Amino acid sequence: MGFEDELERAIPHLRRYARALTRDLTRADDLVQDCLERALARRHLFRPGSPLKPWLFRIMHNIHVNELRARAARPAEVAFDPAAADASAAARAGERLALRDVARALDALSEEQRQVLLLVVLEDFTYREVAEVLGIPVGTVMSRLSRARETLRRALDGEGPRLRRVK
Amino acid sequence: MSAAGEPPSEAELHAYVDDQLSAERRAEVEEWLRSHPAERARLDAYARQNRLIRELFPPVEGDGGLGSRLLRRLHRRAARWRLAASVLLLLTGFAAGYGTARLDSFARRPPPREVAVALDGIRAYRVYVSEVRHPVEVGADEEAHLVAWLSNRLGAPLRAPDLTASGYVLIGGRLLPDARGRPAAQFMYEDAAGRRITLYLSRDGDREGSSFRYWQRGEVAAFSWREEGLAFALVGPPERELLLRLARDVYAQYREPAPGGAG
Repeated sequence: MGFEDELERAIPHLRRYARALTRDLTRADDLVQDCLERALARRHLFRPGSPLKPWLFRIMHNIHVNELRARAARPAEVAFDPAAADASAAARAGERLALRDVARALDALSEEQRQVLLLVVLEDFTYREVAEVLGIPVGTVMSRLSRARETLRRALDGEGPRLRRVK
Repeated sequence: MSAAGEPPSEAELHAYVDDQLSAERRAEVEEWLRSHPAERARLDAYARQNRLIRELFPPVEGDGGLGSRLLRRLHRRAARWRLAASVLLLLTGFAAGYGTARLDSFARRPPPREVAVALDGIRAYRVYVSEVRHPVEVGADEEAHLVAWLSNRLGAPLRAPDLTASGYVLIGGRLLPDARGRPAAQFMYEDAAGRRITLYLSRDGDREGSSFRYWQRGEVAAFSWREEGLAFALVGPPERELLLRLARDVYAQYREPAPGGAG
């Protein structure tokens, strides 16, 4: 399979992870677009024969981290759809309660823990691949994963202290 | 990963949840879990997290046009390059210079007021809301004076909206500088439980309105918008429905004709 075919095949995966990272459809696709452009520009740096997907995710991760740094002083804009906001809270509350709890609990994780968890869960990357994508040792991947899951468990099962105490 | 029969490591327990163990080791871990119900329950919770996270972010279909857009652009670029390589070589220097200058001006352009007001409003909220003894400069007992004073300083007819319908009572307000060093106003409200929200206002050179935008950082969130020469930020705890209700209330009250035709 050629580089371009493999690239195209990876796009839906990049979009899913970008959406989970940014929680914003437009920003997610901007992120993927930046990633694809950079990947093509650096195509000569890619080792043929090695898997393309982790390489692409690593590029996207680095773009995302740089953006986060640039925006560090600013609050994040959260996509807001007035129509959706009007849909009664009660309707969403019932069956989607668990999902909302997960969303909230994920938001409360540190960026680093969230990235590890999302890469493992959404994209079925091996721990070694996650380490490669994030540019950290496998041991760090494991400790972040472990902490992320414990924090989520306490938040979702209502055990222990609340995720983030209000100062 | 580790020798047969040995108790699984923490890493292996995660690998069990994520289905990253060899079939053989998987069977051993499964066997071990039978006699360790607490660990079994923990791993079940992790597996449930995985399911919920996958449900929360379902797989994306298609490339949203990104691939074809990109390839089209590349092909165009390649064609152009082949056709006019020599010309391009000459022009590249100019183009690069032009591109940089444009990017630069984009980067330096100040954000629209409804963005800036949200950032300023959140900053001010963080500073003053935690104040116990002096959260406001002028209390609600002098509301008429407060509103007249702030209107005067901002040079626009302000009002302290009545938010009692949502359970929030005015406790007062203050004058403060925004990020540009121009006067801005902050009205603070409190509910029966002592939770506070603020309405932050500054002048906007543009009279055109904007839509509502929602911002969140940590424990603080805001709706911001522009209307009739003012930029508004309604800032409070990150509860979207509550803040939206309050923001709409503020918006509606600012559109009503001025009481007593004050000017």
